[in-house]
Amino acid sequence: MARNVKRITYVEDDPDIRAVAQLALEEVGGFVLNMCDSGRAAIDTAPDFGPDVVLLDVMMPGMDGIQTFDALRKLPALRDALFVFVTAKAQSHEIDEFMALGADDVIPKPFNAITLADEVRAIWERARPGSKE
Amino acid sequence: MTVEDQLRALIERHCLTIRNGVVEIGRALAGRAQPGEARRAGPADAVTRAEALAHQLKGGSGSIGFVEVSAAATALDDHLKALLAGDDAEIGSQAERTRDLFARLQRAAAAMRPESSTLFRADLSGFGGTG
Repeated sequence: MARNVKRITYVEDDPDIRAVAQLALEEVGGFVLNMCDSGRAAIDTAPDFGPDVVLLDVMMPGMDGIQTFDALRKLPALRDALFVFVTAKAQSHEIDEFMALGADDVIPKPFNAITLADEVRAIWERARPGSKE
Repeated sequence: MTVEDQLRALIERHCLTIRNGVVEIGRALAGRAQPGEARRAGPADAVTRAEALAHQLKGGSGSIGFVEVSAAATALDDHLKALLAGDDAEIGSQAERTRDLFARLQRAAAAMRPESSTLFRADLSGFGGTG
């Protein structure tokens, strides 16, 4: 039976976006969240956390979202996770580039905090059809 | 503290973040050194810095419901990105357009109130965590 979507790792350097995403995903969406302020923090914590979905900002100081994505998806503990970029770099050619890198989807920024959890569930359903929450 | 209370506190805090961000963009566009920087930025450095700040403001303000600020930041971000694809001469020739777009962003930030956020009166009671 397919896994359910329950656990999310979110990597974002902007503290206010982390705060609104935490409300949207934990309080509104009911997900269990591993919030990381950097790619390094995600690499350190995501394997033990075991996310179903990894949400990644792209433009971050130090290790950016693409470098973080490359590092995380090599980790055996995350081999079944979905990787979704949450980014303001969301013109069609940019989305095509993220998908070509191997991302499962892209959520454009700014996102809608009220519907963010539903967007994640819809992405999960598309990628893992037949699975239930 | 309810979710709505937490959201309103975040919105109020973000108003200050936006105002500070607009000041930083203005400083970058003027080519003034940022605090801690030793030298004055050149035209392309200034636009690069301003574009990164406008890009950040676009995503942050929009995700916290400040639609007008986000739209103004998006217009400035797009314009600065186009300038960066050109050369220093183009940066100079487009200075008036840059000033206009920055002025639009300043007006949007000046008019902003916590109540302006589309999330300020959001009713989250109908949402339930089942994820």
